[in-house]
Amino acid sequence: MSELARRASAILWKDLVTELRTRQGFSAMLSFAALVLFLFSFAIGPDTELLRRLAGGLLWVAIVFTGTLSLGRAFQSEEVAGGVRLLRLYPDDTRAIYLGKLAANLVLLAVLELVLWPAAAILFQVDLLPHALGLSLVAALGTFGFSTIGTFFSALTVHLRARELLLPLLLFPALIPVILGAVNATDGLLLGDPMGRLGGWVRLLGAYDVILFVVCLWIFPVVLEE
Amino acid sequence: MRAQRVLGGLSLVGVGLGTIAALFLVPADRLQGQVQRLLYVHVPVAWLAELSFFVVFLMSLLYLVQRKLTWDLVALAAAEVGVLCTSLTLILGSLWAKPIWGIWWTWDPRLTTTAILLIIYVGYLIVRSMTDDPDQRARWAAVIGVIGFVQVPIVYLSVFWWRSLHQPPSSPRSMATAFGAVLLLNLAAYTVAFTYLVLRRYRVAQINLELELRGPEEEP
Amino acid sequence: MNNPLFLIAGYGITFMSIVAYLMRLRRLEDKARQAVEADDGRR
Repeated sequence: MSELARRASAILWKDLVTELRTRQGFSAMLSFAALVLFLFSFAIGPDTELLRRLAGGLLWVAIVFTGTLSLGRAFQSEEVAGGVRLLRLYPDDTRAIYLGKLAANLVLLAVLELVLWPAAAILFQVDLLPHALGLSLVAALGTFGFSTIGTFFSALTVHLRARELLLPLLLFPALIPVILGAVNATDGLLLGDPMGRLGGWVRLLGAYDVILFVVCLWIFPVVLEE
Repeated sequence: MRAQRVLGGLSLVGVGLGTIAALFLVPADRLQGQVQRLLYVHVPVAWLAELSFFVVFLMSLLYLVQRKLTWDLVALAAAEVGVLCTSLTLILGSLWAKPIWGIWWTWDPRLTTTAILLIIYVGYLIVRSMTDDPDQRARWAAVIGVIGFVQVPIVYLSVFWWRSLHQPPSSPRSMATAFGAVLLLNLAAYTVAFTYLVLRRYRVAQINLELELRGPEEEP
Repeated sequence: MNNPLFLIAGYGITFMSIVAYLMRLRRLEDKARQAVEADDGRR
């Protein structure tokens, strides 16, 4: 078990160091996310009440779009260098790859969201502070759900030709519970929860995260089999 | 095997009889008029769509455990026919909703989940078409087949909760009353037709796989 | 009510798509048969 963790952390570390060195990837993600938020503001118009109501949905759409971009790059450097073959040894080693990549993606998205949430608060004029704890939980659950299935499909599509098409195509249906759960929970916190459904949405997110994580982790070795 | 021919003939007869019964032998619905007769196709086709993806799931599991390409071929056949059934379900659902409620689409949980199911299995077929190695193809397809199926209940649940906040018109299926015998007849007929199509698709897939595995022959 | 139009469209599309799929099956079968014959001929 600790062997698995050790290998996974090695991969996590390597990915993060690579990311830190180039820094291009992250700034690209950040600009893209900011652009999406700005475009939404312009597209929807100056109606502040409307923007406030939509803030949760817009924010999560921005996170998903940007996240999908970053997933597209997740296995790319290995693909180019043929490194995935070297990584692929025993099933447990493969799972370490999954965990490492997942963790790296999570870290990236976490840093992104640290900027994005305040940015959305400013642009859409919502006050995050009273609900900071709840929002952090929702952000964590939603992002984890996204990264779990995202890393999985990213690995699967890395060898395929129309990857830019296939990754979103495969990802979109899988993300519906995440988006619905995250947006509705976020709205519940920011806009009020008259029917007391917040708990239900959070539980849905949690259940989704657990189920998909277990299934993806279990089945991942098959994806990299040669 | 010419059992396939028999099955084909039976499908034709069955669907023919079922359609005649649905169009002429059953009185029109008082509330919904003639269009309600679409139920006799919509319900069987929707059921078959669900069945086919369960078959894909089962075959995917079997393949992952036994690694026999036979299972993968059945999965392919079921997925193709399943995509056909699912598309039909959505189209018929729209054609039903429009005259009754005046809109082409409702975010009804069942209908929405069906649309998502379609996307999942179109993705399944596209991934298959882009993979040339039979074993690799079977492996990835099986993975998508399993995960796709696992997603479905969760998707349905989340859409159900999402929509229960607003009161949408309910699914055509739950609203209409149907004459049991005619519905059963159509259900049986379309199921036989489904089996026939899957069997035929499987046969062709078998031949194609054999051709693939033979590989290029050396020039003597 | 323009009901009957939708009914006809519905049944029409159903049968057309089944026929279209049958035609696809036929095309696949023909192609496969030709490929097998060509391949057998080569060996």
